[in-house]
Amino acid sequence: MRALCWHGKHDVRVESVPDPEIVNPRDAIIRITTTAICGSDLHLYDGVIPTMMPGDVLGHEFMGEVVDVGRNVNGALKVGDRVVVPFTIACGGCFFCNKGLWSACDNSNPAEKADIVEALYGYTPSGLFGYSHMMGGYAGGQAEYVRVPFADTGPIKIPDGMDDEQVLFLSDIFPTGYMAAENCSIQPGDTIAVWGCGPVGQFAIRSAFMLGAERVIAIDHFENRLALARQAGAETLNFEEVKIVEALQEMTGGRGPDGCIDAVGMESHGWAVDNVIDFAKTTAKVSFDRPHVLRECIVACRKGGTVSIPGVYGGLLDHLPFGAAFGKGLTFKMGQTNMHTYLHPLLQRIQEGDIDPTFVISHRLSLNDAAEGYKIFKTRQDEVTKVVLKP
Amino acid sequence: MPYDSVIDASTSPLSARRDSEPNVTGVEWAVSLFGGALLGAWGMRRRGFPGAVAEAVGGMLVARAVTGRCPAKRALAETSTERALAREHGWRNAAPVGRAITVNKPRSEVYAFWRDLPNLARFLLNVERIEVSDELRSHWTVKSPTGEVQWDSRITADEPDRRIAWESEPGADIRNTGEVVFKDAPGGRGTEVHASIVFEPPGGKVGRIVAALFQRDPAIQLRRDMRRFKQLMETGEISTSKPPLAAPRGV
Repeated sequence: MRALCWHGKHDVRVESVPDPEIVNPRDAIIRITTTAICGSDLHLYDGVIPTMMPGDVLGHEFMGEVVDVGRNVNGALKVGDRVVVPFTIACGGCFFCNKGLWSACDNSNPAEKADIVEALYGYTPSGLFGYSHMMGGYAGGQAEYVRVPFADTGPIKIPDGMDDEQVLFLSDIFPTGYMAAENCSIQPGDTIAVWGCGPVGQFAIRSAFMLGAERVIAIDHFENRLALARQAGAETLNFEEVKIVEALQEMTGGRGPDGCIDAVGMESHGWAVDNVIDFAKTTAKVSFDRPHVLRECIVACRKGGTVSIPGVYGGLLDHLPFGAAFGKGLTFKMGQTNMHTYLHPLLQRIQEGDIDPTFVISHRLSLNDAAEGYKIFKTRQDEVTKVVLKP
Repeated sequence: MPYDSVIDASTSPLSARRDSEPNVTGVEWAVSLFGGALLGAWGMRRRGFPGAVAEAVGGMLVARAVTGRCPAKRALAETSTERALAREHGWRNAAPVGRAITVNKPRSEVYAFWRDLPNLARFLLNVERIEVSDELRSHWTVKSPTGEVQWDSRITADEPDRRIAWESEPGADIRNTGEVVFKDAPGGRGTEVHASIVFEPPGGKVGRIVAALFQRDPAIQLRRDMRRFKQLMETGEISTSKPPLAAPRGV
């Protein structure tokens, strides 16, 4: 089959690789009908995520048709079912899955892979599709076929009559943006500030309104992305034109936003002094992260507010204003999305017309042109908000 | 039901114990202190790269003398726990390894699975064969960094639903002893499984470090094996993304 394989920094290629097969009794094989490139795939593309190996198949936003099931899937899925697959892999039987903390699943990360994370971080996360060996080393879905472990627990069946593009983003960015907003525990009258108007930021903006936010203030430096945020009803700030903390203070009558969402993560843009220093450190490989946005969230957030972090961070973060965070009594909520919790409620939101997730798509390419898709998503972020691939 | 404490809470696992008393003493202490001071002083006069290296090394030598403790030496030396275990078993040296996990299943079920010894070969990755000879004895064939090793194992204690202990019989390629303790996790959260093994590492401490480089140290293996055990008990399968089937390599 054809698949998009990682070979190093800014080097991804569509290659011919062996078809996946059923390995474990609860596996299914999915024929991919639509897949997408995620903003977090750009962290892999930039070579900032450790434990990648040349030849790894990328992609964790995908959907398709079930073509084979293992003997213990037990009718949960049948050949021919149309499904969206959540990007976190969860067993459904451990303490964490039972508590709804699906992304902390104890069992889906293979023992020898989980060992790598345990050495690096002291804990083990769930396995993910196509996202480095410490996250399980599972082949991803930017391919014609994919093997899905614990297929009786993860994939959600899609009713007839719904297009792929309407439901594809249930695989990651819609639930991720939604959980980011939900983590702000929005109260009537709240103002939520969202740093980063990429796909996750866009879904966080719309989710914050769905959850009752009075105002949403969106921050970026790409005008097209800010325009997309305004379409959802957000007020916008371009950080190249205004000082963000001062502007937020002014816009909130000196209180600061009630909730601050960092939908940027480890690769902050901009020429702020601290970010330039972080650029130097990450270039010298003495650090993984440029947490400028997180610092700004902490400084901007109102006393007793919440900082919600869907953006990905990788290592030891320097110079966080933790004294301010402590003094204000901030709540921090973060982590990989507990995907399985959100699939059904958000499918229902789409069915009821609360949101049409296709708004975020800017480019549609063939899987054969996936490498070009990565390149334009990386280099032309103003016009490219989401690249969808067809195998 | 109160917390079922089989292991005394004040007793840390053997593998987690460490020494903290001074390990730089006597002549070594004096050499470290005065040698380090001299080297550092020379480095400050010498300047340039060699000078900087001499300063750093001299400083570290002085630091290990002033604190009386050298972490590098400690990492390479036998611990007092290891010495005590070797003496207790009459071995040349001894290495304790341990790992605890919580399995989201009732204690009786977890114990019963483990007590059925051939089951162990399903998740102990380096174990090639377990042949059960009688109620208490079994023959083990295991992959090691130096090839296949074998031993006969005898169960020395079997408390249903609570504890299984064993030791190797005379003539073992690698002498070993161990126990696995099952207890209820608090709040009905399944069963805690505490495995601890003491073995006689071929090549002693250095041999262990070499084995660890090849990912064959029993501490690493036990960590992974316990995780696989939990996967098997909780999900009915052992998670894998091994190529070529699950994670195809580019061709």
